[in-house]
Amino acid sequence: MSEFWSWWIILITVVNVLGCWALLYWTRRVKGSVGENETTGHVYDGIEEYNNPLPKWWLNMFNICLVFSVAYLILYPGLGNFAGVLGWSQTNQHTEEVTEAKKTYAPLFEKYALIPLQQLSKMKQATEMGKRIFVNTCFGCHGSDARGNPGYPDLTDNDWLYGGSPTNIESSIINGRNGVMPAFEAALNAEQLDNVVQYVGQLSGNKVDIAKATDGKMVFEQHCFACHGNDGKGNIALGAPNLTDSNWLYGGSSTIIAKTIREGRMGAMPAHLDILGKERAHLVAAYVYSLSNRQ
Amino acid sequence: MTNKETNDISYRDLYVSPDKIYPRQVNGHFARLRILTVLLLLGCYYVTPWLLWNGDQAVLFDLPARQFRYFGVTFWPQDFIYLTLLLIIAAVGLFLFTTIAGRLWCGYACPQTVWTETFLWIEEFVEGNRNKRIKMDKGPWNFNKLTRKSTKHFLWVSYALFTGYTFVGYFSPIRELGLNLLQFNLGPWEWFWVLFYSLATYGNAGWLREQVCLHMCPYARFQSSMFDKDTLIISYDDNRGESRGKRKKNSDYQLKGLGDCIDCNQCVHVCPTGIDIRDGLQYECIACAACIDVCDNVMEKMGYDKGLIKYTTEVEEKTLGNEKTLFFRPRTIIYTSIFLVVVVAFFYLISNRIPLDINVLRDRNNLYTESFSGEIENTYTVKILNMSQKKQTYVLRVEGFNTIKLEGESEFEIESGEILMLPVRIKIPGEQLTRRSNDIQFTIQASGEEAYKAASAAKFLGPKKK
Amino acid sequence: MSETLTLTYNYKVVKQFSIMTVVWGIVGMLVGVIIAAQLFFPDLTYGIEYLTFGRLRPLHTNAVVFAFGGSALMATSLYVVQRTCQAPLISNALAAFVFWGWQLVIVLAAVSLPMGITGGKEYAELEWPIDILIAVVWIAYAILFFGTIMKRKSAHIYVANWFYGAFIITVAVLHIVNSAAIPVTLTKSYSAYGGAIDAMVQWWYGHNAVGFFLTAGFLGMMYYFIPKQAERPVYSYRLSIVHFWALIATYMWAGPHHLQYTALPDWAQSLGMVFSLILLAPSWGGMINGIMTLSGAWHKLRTDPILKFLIVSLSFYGMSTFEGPMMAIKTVNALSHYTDWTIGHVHSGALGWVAFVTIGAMYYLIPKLYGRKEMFSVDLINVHFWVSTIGVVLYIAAMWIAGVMQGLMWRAVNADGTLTYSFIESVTTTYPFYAIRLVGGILFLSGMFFMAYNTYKTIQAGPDNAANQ
Repeated sequence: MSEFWSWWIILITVVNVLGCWALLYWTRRVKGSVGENETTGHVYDGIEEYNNPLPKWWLNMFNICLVFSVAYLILYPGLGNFAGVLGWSQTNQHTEEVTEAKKTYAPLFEKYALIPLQQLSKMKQATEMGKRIFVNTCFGCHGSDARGNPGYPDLTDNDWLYGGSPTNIESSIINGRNGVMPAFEAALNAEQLDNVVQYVGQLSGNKVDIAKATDGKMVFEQHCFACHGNDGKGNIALGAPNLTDSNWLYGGSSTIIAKTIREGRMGAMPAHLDILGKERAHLVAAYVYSLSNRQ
Repeated sequence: MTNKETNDISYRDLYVSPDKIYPRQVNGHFARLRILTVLLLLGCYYVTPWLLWNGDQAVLFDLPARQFRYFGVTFWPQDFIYLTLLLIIAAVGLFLFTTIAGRLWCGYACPQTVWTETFLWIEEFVEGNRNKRIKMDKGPWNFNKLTRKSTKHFLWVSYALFTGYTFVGYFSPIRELGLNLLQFNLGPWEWFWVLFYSLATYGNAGWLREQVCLHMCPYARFQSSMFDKDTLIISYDDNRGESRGKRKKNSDYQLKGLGDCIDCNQCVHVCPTGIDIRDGLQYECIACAACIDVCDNVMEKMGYDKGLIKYTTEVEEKTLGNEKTLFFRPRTIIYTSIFLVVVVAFFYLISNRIPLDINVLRDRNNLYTESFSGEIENTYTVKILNMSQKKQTYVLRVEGFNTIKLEGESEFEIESGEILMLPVRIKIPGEQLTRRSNDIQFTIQASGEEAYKAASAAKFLGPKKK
Repeated sequence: MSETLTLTYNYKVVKQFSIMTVVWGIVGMLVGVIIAAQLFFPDLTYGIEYLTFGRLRPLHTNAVVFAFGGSALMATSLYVVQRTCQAPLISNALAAFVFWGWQLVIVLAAVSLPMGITGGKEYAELEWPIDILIAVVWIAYAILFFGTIMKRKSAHIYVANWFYGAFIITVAVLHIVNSAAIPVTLTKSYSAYGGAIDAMVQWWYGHNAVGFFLTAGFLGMMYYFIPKQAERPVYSYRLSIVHFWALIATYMWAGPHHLQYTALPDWAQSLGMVFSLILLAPSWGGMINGIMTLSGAWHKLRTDPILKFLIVSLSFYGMSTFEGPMMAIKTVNALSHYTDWTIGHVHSGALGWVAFVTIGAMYYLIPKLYGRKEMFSVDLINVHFWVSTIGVVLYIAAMWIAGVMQGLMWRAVNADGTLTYSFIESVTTTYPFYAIRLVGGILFLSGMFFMAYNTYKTIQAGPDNAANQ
């Protein structure tokens, strides 16, 4: 606010507050000729007016309100650019409250931050805390029950794209993951595509056209083994899924598998270090770990 | 010119402090009734926070925890509907009792009356009776006046502080609060409320007194509009009393044309709002009946019949008692029925309250998932609130379709006062779903407690049928 | 002397506005009941777009404030100004223009709002062509009112007219400034202000709509009808001066309390809070003056239901103007804002104060206008009074407590600092409160039907010779 407007605000505020006082004291003295229960002499459509005195407490209340206001405007921002003696601002208040909250809750999180994940996953209060964060933060992709959705893995089974060890899980949460399945539309012709789809179906034990699958195996060994491995069991270093089980990230029907191979897939787990912080991520990791390692 | 105006004595102040009222203490039926209610109500107020229930404070409104303990029952914010019903009961009750008996509340039960009464006792104890007080206030400041006044205020302030402390004791464990208060070790909010409530008590009961009733209280206005001609009011019997005048005891005053009123002004002296009841029904009258008591005493001494000032109604007053007060009239009947309905509803609901609640939140992002086997899946977060004061085991079920599967935990233990968050997945075979949106129901049952169950309806979404 | 003058007063426009007060009261409150029901039965209107909550809610507020309240204010102000100035309206044609113009505004609002045509500013939703019409009608109304005051026979201006005058001038300024917009099409415009300034202008308008439309105007009504019905002089002339000037000076500042803890600069928030607090004193000044005026006629309360309406309206005025400053305090506001407590507060003012004082004034005015001593049935006024008071009690009790409950649930945190409840949980918990509120609303609305019937019968009965003498 420019200096001019600041002074303008100050001026009209002061004039208004002082004006109230002036009004009160200017009107305080009443001509004695009109006593209690005597009318002023005005008559409007039969209505007359007394000029009765008011209870003093009303004046006191008015004064208290005004004094409070003056004090408040000295202590708090209000008079233009004058920030107030206390230096209060809503931004400061927010910062203070956040600091206060951090101080209150920090010991709890710090305590758990030092406990190894496996041990932590068996502590009820810790997993409950992890669960609450999970349900708030992770439900959108993995579902609040962590059983996943198409494209977003189930976290309650023992099938892990990037490994299910405590370190792996925590790393996935903190640093995020990017799983890329390239599109093979250009590299494979329709027949090759069909064959490799049959082969992938065979890997997970489905009934397929054996001849096509055999041809598909060759395509697989040429194009897919680098990530999924020769045996199709995947590679947790790359997040390449195991194709030999019945868990499918994007769906296991031949149509969907064909689409996946043709168009590729981009799986992204965002890094949560900035969103959650290390301590909360640790608790979420403990909760996720507990889901697939139930007693 | 201004000078001239100021010096002109014909100018006066628009604001006046009302003349101080020195109510005289009375003895009598109604005074005893009021003392009884004062002791009872204040007794409840001061004692309640000290009561124990199973070793814990019996009545404690724990705001930070959002749990309101009341003799072995814990109320949660979700239970505030009972508070609404209580408020409605209070309002309708006020209407009903006012219609029947006038300002009963004002005269006997209002905190303003109750605390003012006790402040007056202290005043009387320290400064003496009405006459002494008037005399002392008029007299010059001397040692006696100074000691008495400061003693009075010291007692008032201590009493007010204890009142403020007790108030906060309903919200913060009163024993710890007491220790902390003695060590000047309260939190900012505790300080604020102890001092604020003390100041309010001291100011209202010590200084403002009848001014609150005369100008500030909305109830005082409200109640008066509930009056009708059959409402009990305190009234002076004009016909019997007039014309008033002084006389010797046992003199034949009727010969002189005098009525029963001996014009002793006792009724004015005892009045806490400083009115003369003989002027008729006035808005200042809080119906405390002090004038009835004092007048009855005077009548007794004079050997006249009691009841020159008495509880009566407009009907009886106007017809000189020929027409009787109508107790059952449309208004009282309607108010009574509403009152009873709400009271019964309140007690029915509260006695059937189950300290258990279930909230079901459907996952927002995903409409549904279709599994390989053709099942449709929806994910929910179920929250189960153990509102009881003990640990419980619960079983969660879901209903609504012939085949409906709940994946996730379905049996669990919850500590007292805890909320369990339970993400679950519900699976229904696709062929069973005929619509996109289907109704299902989650139920929760405490094991071992047949009555402890709660249910929540939820929606189950599926694909659009071709 | 005044008998001969009476003949020349323009009562036609007063009659028209009085009848429309009753009609729009029913319409506005009916829409209120419908949207209250929608909160309990979300599928009530089968998803018909014209009847969704979002479109009916502004219709409700506009109908009760500007149609019901506005008609009542215009009826009474044009009656009071003629009677107390002993001067007929300066122009009957202008009076007719004001009436028909205002009704056109209301009808246009009733059509455009359900169609979803809105400027999006609360209590100022109407689009720019209607805004221009409002401005024109309002200026005509001002000319009519002040023109009549200029032609008055008495030296002084009666206090009721000061309040009406302040209300008319201020509402003109508020409306014109806040509705400034850049038209894009006939039915769409964009506010002339941006961001936080727009919000500030909106709530400067919004709160002064409360302060001048719903308070100053109705205080004018109070200052005429209470002394009239009680047949008592006004308690204190000097108090009316003090509280008038203090009230209009401080109300202007109170708007920012609607924007505590928002993007509004800190200084503006503080000023809004501080002046809202000061407002307590002048507001109570008005309440004291009204109540003390009635104090000499206390015994009449037992039999006169019109006085009952008036006295209860003052009680609610006192309660709401105590509650309002409290809610403007930042700390309290942080708890109460966005909860249903605010709705309870607004309705304790709107039903308890505005509607009660209007109903009382109308029950005084209607028989006078139609040459009768009193309404067709005084018992029915009594019934109306009981039904309304119970309705208000249910409404306010439910909303107050619902607000506290919501405040407690929203801010509840677990031991680890996460929120205990999601928003939807507080919504489902509010259902029973919405049911009680709905019952309260239905009761209040049904009272209005008694009033409509009573009014119809009074008018139908025709002039009563006894009253005309």
